[in-house]
Amino acid sequence: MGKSDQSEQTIQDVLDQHGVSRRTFLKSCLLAASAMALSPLAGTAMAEKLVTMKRPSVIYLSFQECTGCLESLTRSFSPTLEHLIFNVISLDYDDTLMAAAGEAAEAAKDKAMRDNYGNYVLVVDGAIPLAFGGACHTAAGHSAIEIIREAAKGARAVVCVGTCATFGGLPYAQPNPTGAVPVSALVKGKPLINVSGCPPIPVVMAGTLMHFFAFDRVPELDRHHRPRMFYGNTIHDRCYRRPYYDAGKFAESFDDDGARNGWCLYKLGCKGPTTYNACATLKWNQGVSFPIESGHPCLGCSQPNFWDQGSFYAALSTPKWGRAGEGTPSKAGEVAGASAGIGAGVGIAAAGVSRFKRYRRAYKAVAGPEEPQEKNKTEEK
Amino acid sequence: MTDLRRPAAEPDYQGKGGQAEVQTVGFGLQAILNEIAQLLTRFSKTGERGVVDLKSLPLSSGDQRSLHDALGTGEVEVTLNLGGDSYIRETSYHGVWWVQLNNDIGEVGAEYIEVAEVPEILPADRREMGLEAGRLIRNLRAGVLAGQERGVE
Repeated sequence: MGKSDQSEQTIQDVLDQHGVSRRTFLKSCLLAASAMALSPLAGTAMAEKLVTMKRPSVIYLSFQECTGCLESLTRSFSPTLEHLIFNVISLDYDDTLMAAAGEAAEAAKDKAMRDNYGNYVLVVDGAIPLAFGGACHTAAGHSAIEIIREAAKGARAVVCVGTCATFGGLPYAQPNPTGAVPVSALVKGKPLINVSGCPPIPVVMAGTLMHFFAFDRVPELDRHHRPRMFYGNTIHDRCYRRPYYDAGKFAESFDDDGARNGWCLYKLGCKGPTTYNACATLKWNQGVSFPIESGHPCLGCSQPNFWDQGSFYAALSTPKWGRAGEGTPSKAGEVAGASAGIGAGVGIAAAGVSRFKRYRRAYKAVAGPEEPQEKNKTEEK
Repeated sequence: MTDLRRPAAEPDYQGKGGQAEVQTVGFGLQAILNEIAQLLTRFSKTGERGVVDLKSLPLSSGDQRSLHDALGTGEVEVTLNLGGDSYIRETSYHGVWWVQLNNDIGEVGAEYIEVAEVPEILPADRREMGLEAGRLIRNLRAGVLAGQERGVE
């Protein structure tokens, strides 16, 4: 049924090989269209276009990351869009998933880049470390800086998945010892799509790629280069607990009556009002729930610098002078300790400034005069 | 979301009354019903299928139930076994289909009204039918189906 040369296979060939019927594929496309707030007619158009296409080549590079994003994409149930995407694309290189290793793996990547020059999509997962000449991340004798630049040259588009690749994420958080930067700091002059989240929702990753392949263009993006169809609203906008916020009913602790009654988690640190993502509508684990539905505040993981926005459990209205993971004192008895903390903080800040200057010099040496995105920039609604 | 698995409440009408029924529903639903009427008219003239995406409309579950009641229940009901059960039901207006596509765990992933002779997702694919003919012939030649035949006898 299918063609022997995989590079010449159409998506229809692959669907036939996997026993995926027209109805199943069409249903997946209709679900994807619905998730992207597109008309069902667009889902039908997607299906008709995709089956005639040659499998698009995708090269997936991982840098400073935890593999959570790839886990999110692959640990989904089947048959779903996320499952289907692996049938649709030709995943020519992914050092985590591919059986080959060492020179064979590198050769596969080089061949895919050569054969599909100008046409492949580069998916990047993880931040890029610049400090120490890029020595914090090397593979096959090349630094991450060299690898990403080489791979981006022939890419038709670059899709950054996860907050590390899009905004720097955890590696970029203070004190950023490896001088990590987001992919956008190094890749210039290419269509760039950010799919942020720690990790991103599987259907958001798959849907973004499907949209790009089916409609042959970058979807409409927000100011952080994220697809508006998924990042157009805040969690708060679509939260089912929003009526409690409007009514002024808040949980004050995780075990009070407010929490038990499902009231708004704003006072427990929910970052939903400033976080743009689709968790409240698409949800997680095949639509089972999302963090707020499970009783936990939104951490704001799809926003820039979310690790450096103070405590996860401090309300958004709390002044941010602490560092990630530390609570903000709310009682008089804690103020003394807080003052001591300020003293220690000054010392840490001084060390941080010194480190930042070193990192800045390293950045300029590698990336040129342009600055990476400013830290601690708050999201405007 | 309207649960298409449950039989709808017996409507007071079967879509034969036209305008009188429309006047009983709210303003938002009237707009949807008017759009459906236009799509039906267009299809009858041009054969162009039409869709009203219910998930993109701010409908409460009550609104959906009202819409469901206004459209009534028709002659055809289909269950699709494609990665979780999905449901298609013809409304009392011929050619107006209520389509509900669910994911693996039964959550509604897409829900829309389709105006067509048959919903796009239903017909078997002619190319696939050719492949299936080959599979059936191969199975017959290999005797795979012989045991089943004996079982029937």
